[in-house]
Amino acid sequence: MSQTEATPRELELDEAAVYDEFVRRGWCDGLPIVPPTPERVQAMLATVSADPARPLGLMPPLWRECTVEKIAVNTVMAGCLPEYFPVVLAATQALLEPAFNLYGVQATTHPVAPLLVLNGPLAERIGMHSGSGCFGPGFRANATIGRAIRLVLMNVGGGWPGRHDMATQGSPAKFSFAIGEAEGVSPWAPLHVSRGFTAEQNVVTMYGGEPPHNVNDHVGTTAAGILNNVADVAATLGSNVGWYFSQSQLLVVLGPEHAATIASDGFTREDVQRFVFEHARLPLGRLKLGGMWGIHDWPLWMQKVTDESAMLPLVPSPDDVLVMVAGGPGKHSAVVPNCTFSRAVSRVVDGA
Amino acid sequence: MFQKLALSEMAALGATTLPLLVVQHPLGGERPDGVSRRAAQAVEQLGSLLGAP
Repeated sequence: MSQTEATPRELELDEAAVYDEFVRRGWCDGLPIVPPTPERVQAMLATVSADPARPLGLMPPLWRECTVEKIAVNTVMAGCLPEYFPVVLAATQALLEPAFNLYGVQATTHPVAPLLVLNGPLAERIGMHSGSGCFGPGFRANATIGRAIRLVLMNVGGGWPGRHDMATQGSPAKFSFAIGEAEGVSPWAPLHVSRGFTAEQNVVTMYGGEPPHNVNDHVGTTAAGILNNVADVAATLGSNVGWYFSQSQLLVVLGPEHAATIASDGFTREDVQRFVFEHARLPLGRLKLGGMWGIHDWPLWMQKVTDESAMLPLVPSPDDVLVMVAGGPGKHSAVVPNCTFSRAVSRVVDGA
Repeated sequence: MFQKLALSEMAALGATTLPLLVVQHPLGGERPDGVSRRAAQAVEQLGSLLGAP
């Protein structure tokens, strides 16, 4: 395994010159960076107990050793505050778990980006925004934590667009893709609790998703009304979801108003999952028109279906419909389809 | 274009001397006769690669 040891170098450069040099070397995402001075990197490392040299695994597609220190360097570059570092560290460790299939996510032609969802008390403490415009600009924790993940993927993993990140078009979510959950206004337990953690734990969930697809429903007054729209947005012929069936997942991010309407109809989270699982379907005859027909990977029972009008599911079970609440006032929600070859991974943020 | 990714990975994994079988891109969207042609070319390459010293 060829590995190049990192050796600190002392350079007399102003910050603009550092940025120019980093751009020239292909070490950043195109936006200005915060130069990773030893003091700044040390400030990040001081927030965790892990040894800076600790190897966390090989990061694809170039299979370079990912260490705590390398993550800290990129976290500085992204503009993070030191208290964000435990989140970035836990998120990176989640990405390296086999179930996430980071090689596929990094090298695919699909526009997938890892969405980071932070749950638990830490989210509010560091200002991880979960209200109006949470997928957009304006919030330092969201913007810089998501950006730090991208810089790690590029600088440690080698996922440079057009060279080793083979995304045909990419996506704006590849700059930064990180949100909190509006736990205070959600009618249900938070996402991480639904995945087996306690409400008091701070947990990152990494989900290999497309950018959010809008669900507009200004008139629905029932759970079924709104969730029919959610299911319709989720079930499209051009989606990746469903083709590699066993790894397909859907993330439904309900706006608080939609969530309240659904809950007032008596729906639990499990009801939402079941409803979307049952309704986000396409008929066999339509699936044969495009997408990945012919190169799909379906279980035997689906391969044996002959009725062209049979409505086939996109994900293996209701548990593969992840549900959370985020956003501000308004009648919008979002579906985040996954890339069909990655499973969401959740991990506790150590020491936070 | 995907060949560059393969070469970079091979270098990263210290396997630069391994032979590489190259299938022309794109494969997706090809008609069956085009896929058959690519497969035949791949088999031909494989034969040469296996016979190489």
